[in-house]
Amino acid sequence: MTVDRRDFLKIAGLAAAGLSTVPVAQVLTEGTAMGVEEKAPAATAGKRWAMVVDMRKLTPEEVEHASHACHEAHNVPNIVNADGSTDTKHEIKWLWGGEYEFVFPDATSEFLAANYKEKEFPILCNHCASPPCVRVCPTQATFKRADGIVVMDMHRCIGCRFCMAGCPYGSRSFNFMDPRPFIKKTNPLYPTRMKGVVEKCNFCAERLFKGLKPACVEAVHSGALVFGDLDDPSSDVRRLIQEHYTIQRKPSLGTGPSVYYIL
Amino acid sequence: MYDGGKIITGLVIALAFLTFPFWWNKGQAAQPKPVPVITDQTKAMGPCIQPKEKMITTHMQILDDWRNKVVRDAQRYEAQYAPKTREPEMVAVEGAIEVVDNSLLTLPVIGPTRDLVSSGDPKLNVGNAVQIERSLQNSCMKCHTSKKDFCDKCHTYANVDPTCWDCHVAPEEKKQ
Ligand code: HEC
Ligand code: HEC
Ligand code: HEC
Repeated sequence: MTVDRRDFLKIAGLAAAGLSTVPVAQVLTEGTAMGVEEKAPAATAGKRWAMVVDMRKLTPEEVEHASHACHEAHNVPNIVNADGSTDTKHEIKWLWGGEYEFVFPDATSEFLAANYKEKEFPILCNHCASPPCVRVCPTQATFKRADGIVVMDMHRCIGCRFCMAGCPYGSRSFNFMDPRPFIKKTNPLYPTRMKGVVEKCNFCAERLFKGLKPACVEAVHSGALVFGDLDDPSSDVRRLIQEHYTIQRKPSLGTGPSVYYIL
Repeated sequence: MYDGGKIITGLVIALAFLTFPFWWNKGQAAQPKPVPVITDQTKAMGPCIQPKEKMITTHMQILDDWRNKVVRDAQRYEAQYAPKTREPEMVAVEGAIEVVDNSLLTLPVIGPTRDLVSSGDPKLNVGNAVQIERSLQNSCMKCHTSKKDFCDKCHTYANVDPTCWDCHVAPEEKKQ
């Protein structure tokens, strides 16, 4: 049998088409998502950071203090309109207060006790056990450290905002404008961000290195915010979670939040 | 020769164009080589994290390496040893400190960089070690206290404009 030019081209074309499906097949069979846990750094192995919010003690003023301390430590801008009111479309938030019905929309009812309705619940990144933001990030700018903290590598953020769509808690903010003019007092020890990147709470990763507690925990003197290592059976967070009934935000989504609330 | 005058005029004009860059710059001194300012204050803080020659050529790689180590690997500190002086137990130092061999480090350098770690392992204070916080704002710029007189001196000359300062806060420049 002789193969003429036409037949050769047909066979070559078919073979090329077959080859092009190989990468697809690989992706389908490997089944691993991008960005899920890299190597475990020695510095943070064997820890699992978590926070317990004791709402029996926490007052709205203290939530305000905590938010203030956090935003000052991390150069979070206070973006306001010309008349001085908060610009809710462009504001940047790492830690702030919200009402029960917003924080726990799936655990509310028509006749919720009035004292819960009036309370101010602190809202921050939940540093989830299976963070949806990490799965969707195309550049691995958001990733999960071995110690449970979901951190952002600002150097890799391209501002696509997939993570904001992925986060069911609204914990992330996008810099629509240069934040610097809106920072009243710049902390010279920490960077700011720039126009076009997303940002969120980092559980004070930069303070934990130095053996310090997160800024919000330090700002609340009543001890209503407790921070610690869930893997340490004698830690305060473990004790509180074991001794009290705690709830997490939207647990049915299966994200496994690391922030627990005692009501 | 036909049209000799026109051709010669054309050639003269072309030559003038081609040599324009040479006679335009004539009489002007060449750009002076930039001299980044090392103040006495900088010197008092101790030697740079690597020898000067190495810093000039590799500081960008060092910074790139640092930010990955800090943000992604959670190793905010490094302890540099001259390999000969390193004692066996120093290898086992855990935590946020990475142990780095530095064959260029010969003297027991005790700069202020070592004090940057308050919670460091006491073992690290033995031997010829330098502890360094890997930080642009809190380490480089603690010694090189002026971005304008130091980093910018070379960068303007070389026409590089790193975007780092969009986020990283440069030290306040003292008014002259
Ligand atoms: C402990 C203080 C200290 C720290 C920290 C430090 N430097 Fe230096 N640096 C110096 C001194 C002193 C010199 C002058 C060295 C000499 O003349 O031999 C120098 C020299 C340099 C030079 C060469 C300048 C020239 O004269 O050509 C560069 C570039 C440089 N440093 C960049 C950096 C960068 C980037 C960092 C942070 C990654 C850094 N330095 C951290 C003290 C420091
Ligand atoms: C001795 C002169 C000199 C000094 C001093 C100096 N640089 Fe540089 N730097 C350069 C040169 C030249 C380049 C460009 C190298 C290249 O493109 O190959 C560069 C590049 C860089 C880059 C990479 C830029 C890019 O676009 O990739 C960074 C980051 C950087 N320098 C940071 C610093 C910082 C921070 C300081 C001050 C602490 C500093 N440099 C001081 C000469 C210097
Ligand atoms: C979009 C904002 C942004 C830009 C642009 C940026 N950084 Fe950063 N950088 C950060 C943030 C946020 C951190 C985390 C700080 C921390 O955890 O202490 C960081 C951390 C670092 C660190 C380690 C921690 C420290 O304190 O310095 C280094 C080194 C660093 N960056 C170098 C650079 C260099 C070099 C450039 C320019 C080539 C750059 N960065 C550009 C935001 C930025």
